[in-house]
Amino acid sequence: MRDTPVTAVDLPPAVSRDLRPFRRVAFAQAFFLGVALLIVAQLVRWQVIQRRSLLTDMVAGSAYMQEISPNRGMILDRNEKVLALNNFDYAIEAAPRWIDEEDKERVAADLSALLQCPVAEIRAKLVGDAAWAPIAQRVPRELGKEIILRRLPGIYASPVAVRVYPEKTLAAHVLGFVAGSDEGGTQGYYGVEGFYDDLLQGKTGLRNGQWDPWSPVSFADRRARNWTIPEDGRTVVLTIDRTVQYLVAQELRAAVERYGAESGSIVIVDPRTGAILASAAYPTYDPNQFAEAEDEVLIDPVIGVAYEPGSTFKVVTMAAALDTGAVHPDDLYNDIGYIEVGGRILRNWDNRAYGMVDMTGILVRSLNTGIAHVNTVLGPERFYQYVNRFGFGERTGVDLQGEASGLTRQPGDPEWHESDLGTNAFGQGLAATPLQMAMAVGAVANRGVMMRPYVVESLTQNGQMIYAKHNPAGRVISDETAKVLTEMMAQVVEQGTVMAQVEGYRIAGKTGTAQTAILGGYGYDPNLTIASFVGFAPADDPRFVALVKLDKPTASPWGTTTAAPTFSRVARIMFTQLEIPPDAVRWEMN
Amino acid sequence: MEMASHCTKTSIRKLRARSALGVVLILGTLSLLGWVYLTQASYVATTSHRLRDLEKQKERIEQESWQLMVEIAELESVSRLASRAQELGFVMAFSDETEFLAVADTPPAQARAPTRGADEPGAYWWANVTSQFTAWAQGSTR
Repeated sequence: MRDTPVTAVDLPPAVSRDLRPFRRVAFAQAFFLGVALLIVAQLVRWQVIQRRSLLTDMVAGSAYMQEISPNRGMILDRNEKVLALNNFDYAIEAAPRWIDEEDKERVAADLSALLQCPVAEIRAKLVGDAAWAPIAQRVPRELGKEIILRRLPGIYASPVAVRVYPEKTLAAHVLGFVAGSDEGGTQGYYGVEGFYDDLLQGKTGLRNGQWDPWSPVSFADRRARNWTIPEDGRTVVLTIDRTVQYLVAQELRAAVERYGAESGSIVIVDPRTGAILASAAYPTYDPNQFAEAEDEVLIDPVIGVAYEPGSTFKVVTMAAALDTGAVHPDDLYNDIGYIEVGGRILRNWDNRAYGMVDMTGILVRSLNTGIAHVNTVLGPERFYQYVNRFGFGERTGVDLQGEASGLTRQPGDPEWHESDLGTNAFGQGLAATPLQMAMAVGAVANRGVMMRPYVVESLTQNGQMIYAKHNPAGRVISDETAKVLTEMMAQVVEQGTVMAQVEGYRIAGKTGTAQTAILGGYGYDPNLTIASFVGFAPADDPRFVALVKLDKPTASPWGTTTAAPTFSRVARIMFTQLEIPPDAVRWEMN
Repeated sequence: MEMASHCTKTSIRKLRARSALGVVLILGTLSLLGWVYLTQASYVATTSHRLRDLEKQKERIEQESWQLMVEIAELESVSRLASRAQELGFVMAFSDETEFLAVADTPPAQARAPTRGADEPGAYWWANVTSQFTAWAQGSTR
C-alpha cells in the first residue's frame, strides 16, 4: 500500500468531526475579537470623540469641596482662668425624600412637641421630596440628644459649634461676642473677639476631590485629592485678672445704684506697662445672649464713647504748662471769680472767688478761672501741641475692637474759637474716652512716659507662647514735671478730695464734674453731669491708674462726692489684690 | 490511513492537554488576581470603616471634652465662688483692715516664677541640654 498525501478534502468523516474544536476556537476568537473591537470602539468614542464633553461633565458633577471648621481659640484671664471657650448645640435638619408620606404627619407632630413650634410650620418644611430641609438652626444640646434618641425617620441632628462665656456678664465689653457673619460662618464682634478675630478663628481646612463611583467602600465615595488640615485658633491670654474684674464690676454696679447714676465705667491700667488690669461698664450684657441686649449696650463705653472729661483734664493743661515752663508750682494767681478768654466769661464751678492761689491751689480747688489763666499764659500753640502729644483726638491703639478717637477742636479748624482755649483747659469743648484720660494720667504716674494700652498679654498655639510686643507711646513730659505734678495731685487728694483717700496710702488724683450736652439742643443741661475721678497709687511708686466715671448721678452731681469715694473703694480692692502694703510698711521694708 | 488518524488523535490530545493547561493557568491567575483584589478591597473597606468610626469617636470625645470644660468653667466661675464663699461666712479682706508686719533679717522677696521664661534663649538652651541628657540616659540612638 502506497502512502498518499492526506488533505482536508480527502479526510474521512471521522477526522472531519475531530477538527470541530478548531472551528469552535476560531469562532470564540472571532467572538472575543468582536467584543474587543467593540470595547476599543467605545474607548475611542469616550477617550477621543467625547473626551471634552465627558471631562466637563465629570468636573462639574463629581468635584466636591468640603470645608473643615477649626476650633475657635479660647480666651483666658491673666491667671489662665477661662473667659471664653467653645461648646456645641445641635442643628435639626430633615430629608423629606426619605420620609414616607404616611409618616410625615407623625414626624411633624413629634418635632412640633419637642421644638415647641406650630405643627403646620414643620409640616410645611417636610412637604415634597427635597434631599435636605433645615428645621431649626440651633437647639440646646439636651433637646438635640432627645431628638437623636427618638430616631425619627429622615430627621437628623448635627452638632454646631457655639461660643460660651462661663463668667456671663464679667468683662463682657472687653471680650465682645461671636455671631454669624455675612459669609455664612461666624465672626467676632467688639472687644477681643472682634480685634483678634483672625487669630481666634484659626484657618479653615479644606478637602476637595471627586466622587469615586468605583470606591470599594461604598457605591459612591469621596476620593480626596487635596487636604488642607484645619488650624485651630490661638488661645488668647488677657492682662485682666478675673477676680479684680469681678470686684471692680461689683463696686461699679453698687456705685451706680448708690448714686442713682444712669450708667458708669471704670478702667484700671498698670501705668508702667499699659496693661489693662480691669475694665468694667454698667449696664452690661451677657455675651451668651448678646441678641437680647440693646445695641448701645454692646458698645464699650471705656473705649468706644467719648465724653467731656471736665476738670480731670486740668491735669493735662497743668502738665503742659509746667513742662514748657510757662508756669511754676509756686506761681500765684489772683482769682476774682471769673476770667474772660476770647470774649467769653468763664467762672468757677461754685461761682466763688478764691483770691491768691498757687498752682497747686488751682488744682486742689479745681478752679476753672485759674486753669484758664494758665492756658492763656501757655498759649494755644503749645497747649494743643501737648493735647496731641497726650494722644487726645486719636485712638490709643488698644487691642480692642470699637475704639473711638475722641474729638478736639484746634486752631485752624473752622469751629475753633479763641474761647476754646479757656474752656478746653478745664475739659470742656473736647471729648475723650475714659481710656484716653486714664492713659494721659498714667503718663504722669510713669514719670512722663506714656504707654500704649493693651489687653492681650500672650497668644498660644500648640504649646508655643507668643507674647504681644508693647511699645511705649513716647515721652510726653519730663521726669521732673511728672514728679512735680504727682505731688500736686497728691495734694489734691490730701487737701481737697479727701473722699478718695485710703488710710495708709498716698494717692494722687483729680476729680471731674462735666455738664452734659442737651440732646438735640444747644448748650449744657444744668442738672445732669458726668462725675469722674482719675488717680493713681501709691503716689511714690504707682502700681495702678484708675478712672471712675458715673453718668448723670442723681444723688449728687459732683465727682468729689460720687466718683471719688468710688475710687477709694476701688483702690482698696487694688491694694489687696495687688498685695501692696501701706506706705509706711513699704518704706520700712525698703 | 491509520497512521494519519493516529497522528491526528495525538495532535488533538496534545492540543487538549495544552488548552486545558492554558485554561487552568488563566483561571489560576485570574483567581489569584481576584483574591488579591478582594483581599485588598476588603482591607481598604475595613480600614476605611474603622477610620470613620475613629473619626466619629474623636468628634464625640471632643464634644464631650468641650462640654466638660464648660461645666468646669461654670463651676469655677468667680461669681459662683464669691456667692459660695459668702454662704460659708467668708468676707472680703481689704488692705487697710490687714496688719502688715515687716520682718527683719529676711532674705529679699523671691520674685514670682517668671511667666516669660519659656521665651528666653537661656530657657531654650537649658531645655535642649536636659532633653539631650534624657535621651542619652535612656539609650536613645537619635
